Amino acid sequence: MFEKMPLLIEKPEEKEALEPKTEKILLKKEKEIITNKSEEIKGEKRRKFVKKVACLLAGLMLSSALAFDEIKVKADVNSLKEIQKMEEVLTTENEEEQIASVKQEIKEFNQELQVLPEEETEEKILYQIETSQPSQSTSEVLKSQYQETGSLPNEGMVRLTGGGTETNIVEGTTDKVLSGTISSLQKYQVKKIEPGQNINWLEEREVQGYGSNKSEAITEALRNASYTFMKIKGEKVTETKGQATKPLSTEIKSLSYLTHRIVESSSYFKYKVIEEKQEKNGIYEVKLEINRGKINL
Amino acid sequence: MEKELKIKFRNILSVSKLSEVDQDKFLSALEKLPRTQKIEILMTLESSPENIPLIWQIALKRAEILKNPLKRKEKMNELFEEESKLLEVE
Repeated sequence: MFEKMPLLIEKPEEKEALEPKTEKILLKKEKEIITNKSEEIKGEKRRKFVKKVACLLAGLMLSSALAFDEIKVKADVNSLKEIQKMEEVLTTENEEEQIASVKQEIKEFNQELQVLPEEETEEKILYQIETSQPSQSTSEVLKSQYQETGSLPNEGMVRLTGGGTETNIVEGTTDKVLSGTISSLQKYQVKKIEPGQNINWLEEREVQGYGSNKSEAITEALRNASYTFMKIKGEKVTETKGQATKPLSTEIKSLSYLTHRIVESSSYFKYKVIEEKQEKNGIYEVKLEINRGKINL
Repeated sequence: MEKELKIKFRNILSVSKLSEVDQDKFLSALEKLPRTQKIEILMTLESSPENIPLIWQIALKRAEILKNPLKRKEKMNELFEEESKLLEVE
């Protein structure tokens, strides 16, 4: 009888020991389910699948909120970011699909511009330039256009058509080319602006905070953006729980997942990272091109 | 939670097949999440309202396992089956 006694007594530490393990096992298994299913799905079905992964993630976040207190929820939501990363990979895995999607976005963006009332279009389009000569540089054309007109409006957009040495935006360009063009335009304009002059299409935001605070600050800044170009500056994002630090640009890219869905549901807010760089003092700078419009949440 | 956000959640949940009690539980759980996650969930629900009952089932089952790790063996397979079902694409 005495030999059997220990079996009747539940070890007090057993529950505590199992708890964190359970969370890890769950998350691991869920990743496995996503990966296995993902391998079976190609083409158009993949888009639907990514949408469903978002549903799964919503369920997982809610489960943490149902099971834990507020402090624990934040920690668990951080661990769910692994699933978010998978969503991003699923979305960007197929390069051809991604290129097609970018082309479609540019096409829609241009169609939106075309449906604007004429007088409004005139105000908003800074330059409509054709670069027909193969050797002609787009940024050079922009500069000479500035020299001819002598002034730049406070706000506006640059729309480029045709094919110069720098691939045209309408047909889809690379970030490098676009950022190069914008960068040289910015440098040129910076020399010309008067102190205190308000340049609406080039706003600078400093984003401070750590972990989710900073993510929220960036999301907030993007959501409320009413200008065409935005520059975000900030220190490295330091994650809680001793995870690796990551640069601001990565943080913004991971937020693109969220923004992408805002685009899908509202269709009047989108942004694109056009340039990112690390300055000597450890400050990161990311330039974004934003399609005007406020999200009404 | 901000009033406007709450109204949006109320609206989308009211057209789901969830009972009023579950809708209230859903909203209380959301209160604990950071704002960014609330918005993520709202976007997901708006784009897939038909999946709300399944999302809720998964949340309940997973929460039960997280709260009672000792029961996990019997509940886990059930949960993974639901999750797998959600990811089915026609």
